[in-house]
Amino acid sequence: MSSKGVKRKRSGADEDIISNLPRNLIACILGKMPIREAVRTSVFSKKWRYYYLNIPQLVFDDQFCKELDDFSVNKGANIYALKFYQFDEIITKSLMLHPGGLERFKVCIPFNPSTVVPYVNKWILCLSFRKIKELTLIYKKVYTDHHHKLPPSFFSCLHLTSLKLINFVRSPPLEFKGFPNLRHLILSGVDFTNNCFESFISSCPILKRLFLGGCSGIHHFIISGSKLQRLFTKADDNFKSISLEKAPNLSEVYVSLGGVVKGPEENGVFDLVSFMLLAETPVPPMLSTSPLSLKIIKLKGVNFMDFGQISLAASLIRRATNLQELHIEQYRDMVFHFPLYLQIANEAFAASLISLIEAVGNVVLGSIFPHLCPLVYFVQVLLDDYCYIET
Amino acid sequence: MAEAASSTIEKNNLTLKSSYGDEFVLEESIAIQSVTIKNMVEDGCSSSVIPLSKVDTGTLIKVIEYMKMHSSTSSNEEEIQNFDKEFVRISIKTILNILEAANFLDIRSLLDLCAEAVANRIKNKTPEVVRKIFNITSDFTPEEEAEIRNETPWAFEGDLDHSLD
Repeated sequence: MSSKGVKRKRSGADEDIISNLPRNLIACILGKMPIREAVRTSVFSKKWRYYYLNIPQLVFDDQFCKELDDFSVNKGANIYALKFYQFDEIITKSLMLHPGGLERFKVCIPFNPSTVVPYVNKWILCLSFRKIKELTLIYKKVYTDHHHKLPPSFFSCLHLTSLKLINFVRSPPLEFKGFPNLRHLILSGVDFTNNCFESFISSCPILKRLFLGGCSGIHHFIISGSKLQRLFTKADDNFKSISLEKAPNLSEVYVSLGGVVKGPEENGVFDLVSFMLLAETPVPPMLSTSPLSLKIIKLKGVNFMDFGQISLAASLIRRATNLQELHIEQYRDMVFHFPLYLQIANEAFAASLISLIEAVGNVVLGSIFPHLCPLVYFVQVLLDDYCYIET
Repeated sequence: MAEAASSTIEKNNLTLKSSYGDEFVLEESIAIQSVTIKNMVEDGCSSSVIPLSKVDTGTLIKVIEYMKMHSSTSSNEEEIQNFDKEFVRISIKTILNILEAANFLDIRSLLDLCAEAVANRIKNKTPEVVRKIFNITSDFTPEEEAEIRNETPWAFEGDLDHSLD
């Protein structure tokens, strides 16, 4: 291309303008399209025959599965047999043929108990050799509580920087020392057998973001990590308590208990409920008085008629001495249950709010204004707490 | 020289010279979005003209336009997004030139923008149409091509676009 020189105009018309780009640029372009598109480039010319094998990421997401499904239906084939046969084979082949290090691998495994499971372990083994950095494994659960147990090779993917697992069982081998490079961790429906949660979290030294949703095998969430900044938790029935003492740099905490509401992003915007809702124990360690470094607290779906919830939320806010943002929304169904209180309470509420702002500092109460009667009591409890501290 | 880069950042100007010999004066703080230029500045090569022998004038003008927009503190995210959208509404040949320049100058965001724009011109199109767009000559016999398609039939399913835009 550099030799175009004087005859630029003439040769420009019929010159191949893409095939001679440096390989890294071609890989970069192919990395920006869905995998089916990238594979189609293999017929462009002999030069393009194997370019697609070098793409930095392999993504087999819901869209990919849906397309396979649609084609099978169009052909009038036995959908499931054909689809799953192809699905396994396509992914296994793509992994086997990939020549170098892989940046990102994502697969949404459709539910099928008979054929899929063995392949997952094979893929993971492959990935552990490929120095995988970003890994997303989603096992679609339809009918059963089946969780696939992660193979030992999973625990040797030490280059991982970002990991998302949905519906898996993890029980690390005894010699497992953690993922030293892991920054982002999303675990949903993951079963921590033998209560290995705390040791796992504390063995990821540079973890910055942690999302936990509906994980079993954990009763007491002891969150630790000196670099941890953001925590999202969706606790389930087994949830007993949460302790943030060992995560001194947390600046954002989201805790929820309600049903998950799918958000625009994959990571999801969740229906955050105050985390004390289903806590069996009346006084979890949350109530200890040591200060927290939290800057943002969002409590959604708080039941302001439940004194236990209010006092725990108050405790959390009270302990967050650096709090800059506070968002509170009450439980949806509660909103219009007490219209009388709403009217009576307005004046008192305004006064309480001012006191609250004075007490907490620069508090942003953005999301609470629309519907808020029982909040008055919450504010009152908060203020009581402050008074209690000061006297 | 590292401290010079950070302390007197607003005042320093750099001169970039295209492969056609045209010179462009640019604030250093804008130019160092290019990691290649940043490294040159840090190594003390900033006093003289920086020759960019692989970047022609037209391409360099576009790259500078991009860097100016992306270093402007007054523009918000939406403005930048709109700018990016408009920026790649140009001929595919020009996009490929900028892509190569971004690779050479090491401007990651511009590289990604152009790679995505190229990918968008390939997506959903039949191989025949893509060959036309990029002037790729197939050196496969029809039998060879059929064989390759047969290796990954799942990639060739579905309705594809036959238009050239």
